[in-house]
Amino acid sequence: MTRREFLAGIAAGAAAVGTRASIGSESNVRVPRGVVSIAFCKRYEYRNVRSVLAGMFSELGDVGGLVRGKHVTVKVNLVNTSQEDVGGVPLWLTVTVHPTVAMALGSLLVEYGARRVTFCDQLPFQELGEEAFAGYGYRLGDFQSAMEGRARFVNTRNRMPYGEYAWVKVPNGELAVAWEVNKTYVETDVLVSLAKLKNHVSAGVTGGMKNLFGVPPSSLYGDDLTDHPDEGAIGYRNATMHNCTRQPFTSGRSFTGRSVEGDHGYNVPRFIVDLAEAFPISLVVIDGISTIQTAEGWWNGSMVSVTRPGLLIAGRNAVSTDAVAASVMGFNPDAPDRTPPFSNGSNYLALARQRGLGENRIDRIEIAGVSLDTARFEFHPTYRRKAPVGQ
Amino acid sequence: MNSDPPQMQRVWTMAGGGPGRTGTFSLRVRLGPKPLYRLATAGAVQAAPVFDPTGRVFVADMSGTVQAFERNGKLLWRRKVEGSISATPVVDPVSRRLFVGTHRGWLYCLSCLDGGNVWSTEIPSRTDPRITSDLLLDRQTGLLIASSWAGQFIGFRTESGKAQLAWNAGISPQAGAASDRSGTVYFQRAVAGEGLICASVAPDGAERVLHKQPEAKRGAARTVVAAAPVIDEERRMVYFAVNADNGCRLVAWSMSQQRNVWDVQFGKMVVATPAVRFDGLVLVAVMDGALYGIGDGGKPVFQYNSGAEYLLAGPVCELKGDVYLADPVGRLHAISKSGKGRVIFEAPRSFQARPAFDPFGNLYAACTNHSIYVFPNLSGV
Repeated sequence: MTRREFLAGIAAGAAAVGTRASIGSESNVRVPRGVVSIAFCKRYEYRNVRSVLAGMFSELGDVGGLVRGKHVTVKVNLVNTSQEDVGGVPLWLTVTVHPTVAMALGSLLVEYGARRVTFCDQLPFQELGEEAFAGYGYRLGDFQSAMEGRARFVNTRNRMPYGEYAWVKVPNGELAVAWEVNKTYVETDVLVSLAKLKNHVSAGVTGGMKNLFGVPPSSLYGDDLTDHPDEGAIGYRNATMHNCTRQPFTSGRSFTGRSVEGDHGYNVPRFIVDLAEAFPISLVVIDGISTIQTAEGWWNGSMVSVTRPGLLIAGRNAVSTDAVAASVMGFNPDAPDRTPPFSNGSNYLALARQRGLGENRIDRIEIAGVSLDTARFEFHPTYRRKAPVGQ
Repeated sequence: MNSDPPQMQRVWTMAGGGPGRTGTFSLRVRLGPKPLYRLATAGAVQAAPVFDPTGRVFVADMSGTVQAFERNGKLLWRRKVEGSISATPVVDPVSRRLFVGTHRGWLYCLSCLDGGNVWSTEIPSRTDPRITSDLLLDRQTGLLIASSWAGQFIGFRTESGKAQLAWNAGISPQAGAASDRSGTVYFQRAVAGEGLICASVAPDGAERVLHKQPEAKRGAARTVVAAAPVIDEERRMVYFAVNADNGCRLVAWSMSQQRNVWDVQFGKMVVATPAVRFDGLVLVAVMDGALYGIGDGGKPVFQYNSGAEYLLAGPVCELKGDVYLADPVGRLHAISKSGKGRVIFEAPRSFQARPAFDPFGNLYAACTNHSIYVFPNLSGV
């Protein structure tokens, strides 16, 4: 498909969105679900983490077959700076995926026969390679030693190292009908989402699906853009994908305009589902060893507190894995909108099921390893934003 | 039981034992090497257990379940409340009532005998009314004092749940208040544009600022106020763990001299309420994973490295100075008077609540694996 044909296609898609019947008439939808594995892991000790993950993957089924001879891309949940901490406790114990978990995962993928493993996220640094990851505790040399030299780090904040972007359609997109992204997310055989177990103020909980919010590059979607794309941009995506006060500077119109200006709780869950549909995740691994509760980052200030669930969660279906993660955190993953944990907006797990992406109803998901009751580690719920006058 | 030294408690009815929050038990304790038994809870426990004089224990957990157990571990009653619980409840041994605050912003007064609801009230708020700070029952005024993210400390009448007194609690308060023998309440708050304020409120509601730390570079909204003040009545001292940016200053405020007499800086913040040993040594669990013993004048006496990356729960201490500390890797440490320690037990998951003594010196270590481990006191109390 030529770029011209693609853009014509997404324009038609955008026009069609407004007339489509309601997404999620569930009677005809048979949603996929996969086994989700839960395991205890108290410390970030490489050998122990690797051994625990190996056991979990054997419970999930054929992870080896999934990656053998393949190029695997691991989207890592890092955040919009590496210069912060939570009261002196480093980001990898609180907000971001600990490098030990990433390295243990990479080592196992290589052992299973992965040809190459690319760790990537959009990071707010001009550097596009390993230097951008150093502040998060990720040292390429260590990864290469553990992974027979098959590791690669890519900062996907713009189109580099590729000469052009990739367009990826969202078949049933609600707020986005396509994404224009770094080709790292397309030139791959297998996409793995490596996430952190946390609450999220707008989305309720984070996990494998929310982690994809880091895919759209700053160069097209960033807050530091004024009126055109910029390959040097490093900004966050508040204006385009949270507040939705403006469209991204993609090379074709890709947002439907059905977002609600200023309502993060409406927009963020829908963009999560639009990303998850466009970028099918083959494996989710969630680092729940040491993290924070109530909200997602250092920027939430004194509302977050450090906590230590001491566990890892992994699954092949992203919706089911995130649903189990929410349940481990003490929440109902099928809770109605604007009730805990989705206190400030829509339940993106339910939206994803309605779109046929996976099962979020906990009694329909098979759990391996530690039982859900034993694993449960209730998080403080996310805080409620100020209610409108009159409520 | 009424003859305890003022800074020590035998009946731990609230977090840290009593209203001074010193975390020091008034009798000799020699712990057995293994838990005597385990109390099963419905959810992870982040609040410390509390007791009545008979040794009956009350446990509130993150599933929103409150349970009472007899001294022998037998379940007496169990009930659910609205919202999860991380704030340590309070027992009023006189009226035999248990007070519980939840993350949904509900405050409950329950009968200690059967868990029946005496009264309940919801903290009014247009934002988030959650209660995460340990409750305080002030013996002088009879007020139950709680703060919530609605931004106020409120003093409630214990018999009715009616609010009698309220004052500014600052931004997302997580720290409980403490009170002295006169009924003066001590607390901290973070205020945008002002910084961190350590203050007191007299029984008549008059507030007095004792110490003000200017707003740090990261701002008041990022200043965690999580450790309650600790009051050493014998030496007439109040200790505040004042966080700023990623560090903490322990401020020693003299009630006699009515001023700060010393302070000492830690490199990382403090979220756990310190303890005060019988000899006045202040024990501070810091987010660098170490327990510091701080002597008079702010002199470091010992540093015990727990091996954990950080510490979320404060230490407790017995009459002769032995200290017990539970860490987030699930280990219980016993630390001698001189600061030498060892791991005496390892649980499957993290400890995030301060341990507590029952009136007989048995140690209750509340764990996030839905359990409370009860270690026997072999000293013959």
